[in-house]
Amino acid sequence: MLKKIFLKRLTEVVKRKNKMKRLLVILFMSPVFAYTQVPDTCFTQQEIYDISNTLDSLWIADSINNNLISAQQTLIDSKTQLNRLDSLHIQFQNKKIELLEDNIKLYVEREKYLKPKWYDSKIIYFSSGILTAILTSKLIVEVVK
Amino acid sequence: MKQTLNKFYAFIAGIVTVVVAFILLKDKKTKNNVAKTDVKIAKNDQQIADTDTKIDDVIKQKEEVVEDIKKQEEVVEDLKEAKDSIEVKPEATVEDAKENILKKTNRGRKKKK
Repeated sequence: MLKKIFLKRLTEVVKRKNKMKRLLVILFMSPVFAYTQVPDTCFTQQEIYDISNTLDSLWIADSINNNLISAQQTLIDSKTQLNRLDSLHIQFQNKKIELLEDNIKLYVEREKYLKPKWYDSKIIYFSSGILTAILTSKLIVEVVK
Repeated sequence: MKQTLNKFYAFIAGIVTVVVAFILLKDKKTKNNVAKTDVKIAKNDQQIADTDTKIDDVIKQKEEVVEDIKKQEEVVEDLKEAKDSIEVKPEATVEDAKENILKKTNRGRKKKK
């Protein structure tokens, strides 16, 4: 019985010691972890100047690029508008060409109507004049007889 | 004899009348057709004049747009030149440089809630 109690006590003591050990290890190691978390940010003066200058130039480049993008966008819009106007111009020109071709056809047709006919010939007028004169003279002769 | 002559003259007169009537009718038809064609030509001319006005407007607008494009291209060229020749003023002190770095990086910016 005593032996059992002694063994139990012993195991409890050993467990406590182990817990203490772990706690101590954690306590001693914590500063190490803390220091390792801090990054090494030590720069020379020249490096600071360089970083500052690089940052400035990048900021300026960024603003210029933004302006460039907006300028290019405006340019694209203008060229699209020009393209639309070109299409409109071509459309109107085609319409004009159609109307002019139609006009040519109409003028040709008009020319056909105004072309001198067979009865507009001078020979016909001349012969009909002679015929009228002969017939009239014959008529007069007959009337006199 | 007189009767034969009268018949002959009547026949001639008939033929002449028919020919003259035919010619007159043909002339009238031709004149009508010419008048119709003239009206069509006038209408076409009016449409051509309208189209010319529209074309002139479009050409004017195109000239304006081309001018704008030239100006915009100049702006783009200037920006490209400016991009190629960026000059930065160096900071006077290290403190200014530090402040500049903090101001222009995420560390320097306040976090939004």
